[in-house]
Amino acid sequence: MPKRGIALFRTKTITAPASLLKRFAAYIIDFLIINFVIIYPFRNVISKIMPKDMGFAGLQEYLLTNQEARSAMVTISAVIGVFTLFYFTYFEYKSQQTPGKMLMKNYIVPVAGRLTFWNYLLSNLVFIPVFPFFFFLIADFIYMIFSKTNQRFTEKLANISVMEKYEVAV
Amino acid sequence: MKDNSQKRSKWKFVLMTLAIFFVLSWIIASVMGIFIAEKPFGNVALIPITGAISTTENGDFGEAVSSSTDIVSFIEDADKNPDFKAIVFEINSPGGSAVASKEIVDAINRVNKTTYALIREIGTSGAYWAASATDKIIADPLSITGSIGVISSYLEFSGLLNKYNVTYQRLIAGKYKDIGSPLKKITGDEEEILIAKLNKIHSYFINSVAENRKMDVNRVRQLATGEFFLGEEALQNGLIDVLGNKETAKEMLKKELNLTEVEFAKYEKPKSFFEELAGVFSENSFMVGKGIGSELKEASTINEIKITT
Repeated sequence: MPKRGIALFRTKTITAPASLLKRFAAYIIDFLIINFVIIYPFRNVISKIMPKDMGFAGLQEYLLTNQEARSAMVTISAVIGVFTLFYFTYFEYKSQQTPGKMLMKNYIVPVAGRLTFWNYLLSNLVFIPVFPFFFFLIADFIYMIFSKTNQRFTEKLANISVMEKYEVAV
Repeated sequence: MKDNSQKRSKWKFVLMTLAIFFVLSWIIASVMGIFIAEKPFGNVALIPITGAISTTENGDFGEAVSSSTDIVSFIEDADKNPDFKAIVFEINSPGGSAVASKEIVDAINRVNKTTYALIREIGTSGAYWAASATDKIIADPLSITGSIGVISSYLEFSGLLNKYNVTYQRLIAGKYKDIGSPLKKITGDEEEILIAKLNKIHSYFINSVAENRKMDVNRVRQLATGEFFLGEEALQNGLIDVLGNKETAKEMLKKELNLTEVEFAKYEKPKSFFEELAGVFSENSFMVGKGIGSELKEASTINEIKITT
């Protein structure tokens, strides 16, 4: 049966670097998912080490004075960081999108040539919360603010760009 | 249509991957949880002494045992921890080995903080000895305590062996090497020797309790017939200080140490990976198989004299 209806105007699909707002929204969605899928199973282990009913300042002081608790938290953070790294890397490698990016309609493309698994891994090393990787977090944030294409520093190193598609009327 | 089916398979991939991540995280967290000991939090350490007191970790046939090694390490840890203002021993034990009980007593005597003993259902013999080393003993009026005595009784099977024409072949060097063997009748002088040893341990026990409780040695000797006392009887004869329970201990600690709140931080021994696994199945059925085998093997090859307070 032929399609009925009148096309009021034509649309054109434009590909452009994903906006900062959409990128942050995608990260928020991904971290909400990571909080439930990866961090939540560790809550019992964390409650064994950290005192309950203590404010942030109190917890900070507790970790500074308690070497055993500090070592255990560093280990747990590193494990969660590695899982987070593989969350981003695996989804981006397999489908060029994480669940957050899927919802925000962002996706990953190479700046030039082809992307391998190691490109994706390099761009996501920032999620490991141990020395020296957390320096990438600062570099990424500053670079992203000043970049014309809203690219992170580690994405630049990894030959990665995050794009979004949107439709405009012509 | 093709677009919809592609979308569906994409979300199926996402959900399956998230499920795998969740399961892997849960497994790794569970394994880590087994090896990380729970840190007690609070301002007063609570160290339970439950079951028979022994220097080893395993009781006979799966019975609950308090290892003196563990208890001493808890005491030392609690004493070093600046967060803990006092240490309370929650006792539910009939006593146990003389050496293990003495190790706990010595550790309590080395503590530089206020110590209380809270006797629940039972705190007799070696457990009472440990309680006597604390600054205050609290017990319920119906708690069973006291029993300041030493026991080393055993079953002797020589008659049974004779009945079935089984002979005990005595091959020893050293007249008293098989003293206390259940496979032969005890002789008069052997009995004298064993009783003398028990009396020595008993004297040591009595002197220690008298020193800990600041009581006259002769008064403690009068009470040290091995008789157990109910809480209210023990209060009357000076073996405990206060009738009460955990709330009583809390109020007393608040008063004595000027605390607005008392939060107990309970010490528990972390289970090893295999202990956790054994816990999935019935612990007793595991111990029955292990215990029967090892007990029968030990009884037949070693002269075991068990002395308990």
